[in-house]
Amino acid sequence: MNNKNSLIIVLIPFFLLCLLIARAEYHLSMGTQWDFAITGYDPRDLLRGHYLRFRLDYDWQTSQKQCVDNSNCAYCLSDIGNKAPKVHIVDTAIAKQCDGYMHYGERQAPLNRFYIPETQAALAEDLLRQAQSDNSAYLRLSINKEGIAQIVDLIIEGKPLEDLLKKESRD
Amino acid sequence: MELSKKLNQWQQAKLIDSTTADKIIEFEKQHSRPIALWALGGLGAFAIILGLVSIIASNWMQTPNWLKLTTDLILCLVIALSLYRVVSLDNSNPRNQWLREILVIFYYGFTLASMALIGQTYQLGGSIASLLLVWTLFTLPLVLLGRGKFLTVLWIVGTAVTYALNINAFDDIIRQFISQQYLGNALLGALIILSPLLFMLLSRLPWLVNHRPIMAGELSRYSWLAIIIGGWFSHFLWYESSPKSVDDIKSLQLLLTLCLIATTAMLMSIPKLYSSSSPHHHLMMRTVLITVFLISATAVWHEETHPVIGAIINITYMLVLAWAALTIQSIKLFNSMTALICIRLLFIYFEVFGSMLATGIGLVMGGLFTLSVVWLWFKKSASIARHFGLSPTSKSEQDEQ
Repeated sequence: MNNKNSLIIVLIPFFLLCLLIARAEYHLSMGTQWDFAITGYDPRDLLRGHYLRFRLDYDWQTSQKQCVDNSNCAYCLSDIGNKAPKVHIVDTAIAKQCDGYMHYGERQAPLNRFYIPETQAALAEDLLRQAQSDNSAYLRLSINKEGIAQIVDLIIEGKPLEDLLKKESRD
Repeated sequence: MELSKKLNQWQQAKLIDSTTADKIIEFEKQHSRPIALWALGGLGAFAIILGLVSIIASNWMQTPNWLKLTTDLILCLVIALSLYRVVSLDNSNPRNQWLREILVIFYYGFTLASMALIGQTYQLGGSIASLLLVWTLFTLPLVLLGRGKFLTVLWIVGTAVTYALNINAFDDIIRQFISQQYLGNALLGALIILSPLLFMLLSRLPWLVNHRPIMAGELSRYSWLAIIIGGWFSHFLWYESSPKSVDDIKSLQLLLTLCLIATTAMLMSIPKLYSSSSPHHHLMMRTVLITVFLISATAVWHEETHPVIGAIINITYMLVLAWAALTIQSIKLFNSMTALICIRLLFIYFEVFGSMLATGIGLVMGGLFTLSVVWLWFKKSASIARHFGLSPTSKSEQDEQ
């Protein structure tokens, strides 16, 4: 095998990693950020491995779903000036005309877990439990033009969870 | 040490002189690979990878994300360039070969750990299946730089796990295009059951056989192992009753048709795929394939459970494997099969009989049978060995063990 081919082969994984990072950064920078309330997590089992588990608590419109064909549905996001948008499920073509739209069903990536530092797991769990009672826990998503959502941060009382954890550990 | 002992024995028996013994030792030294060194090196690299994965999973908060990612990329580049340097050097040098192997193993695992780090840093919610699939595909050229058995086995395990986890993804794709439930079930079943044949075909790719013979050999070996183990477990189908719904029966019929087509195609292709093997080997492979297909295909149509039939079929299957072992002149495999048959016979009595008297009589008979087999083995093994072309000394070596 000549040296040029060998060099390309050994650099393939490196380029893959760079590509993954670039893709994630691009998504975060180009997407529109939306905050969604989170709820429904089992307080007895918040921790699963080293991530917090929860589910999104959408602020539904009067009619929640106006779409029949699940393979062509999307979430329509309407900005009404609240922290979280109003949501309902419509045909993708209609959803694209809303303030924002997001993939629905199996096309949507899992948005029910947030990785946390191992040493701060118990503290994160306490903060989230407290936020549950105050309804002050939100998941910030960056949604691009194709409707693909990526988690940006977990916001508790208006601050990123990581900042709160750092502050608590300093105190 | 084993070789020195043997050489001493042969010198004492005046089979060889001291000059010949020295020449043999010198030859072995030049051509042997330090297996322990390679195995330990591989294990060491693997341990480091597992340690890195564990550190990443802890999600160390004190380090900013940009620092984690930058360090990871720099480390990746250092490994890549080190590997490139080693690959560019003289390939015949054993030290370079060892170094290349260790670096490939380390880089292989490091890539997976890095992808997990990126996923954690950016809170990417994708599945483990898709992570492994991307990792397996993008590291394939890297793995092909290696030559050793440890790396090959590691890669086979990684690929098999990736395939198993992504079966569900195949199922989702199938369901998008096929609405009939029975059809989707049959195709999914075929993807699972015929996967060893798929890996076997991969192992026979001409480029792999010619340029990476160890990888091709190991992949083929593990594929056959999967087929043999699958055949062994198929007798448990007789312990369950078969499905009764119309859709289930349709699925089974279609699945068996697909398996029949695949098995037939493989039977016809064996001489071409294993062109360097003898006709005896081809016959053995075909016999094992046909047997596995037949015992699996016939085990799914009964309405009641028949554990006795399952046990008898299992023993028959092991007799076929014992014959196959003799055909490929593997005395150890033949002995293992003989032992398994005897053990399985004993278990039948526990399965079949209820009362202590009946079970006791059965066990006595089974034990007598086992002893008969042992007596027969000692009396007849030499002639059986000669019949199957095994060396007469193989028996004495087995006796010493």
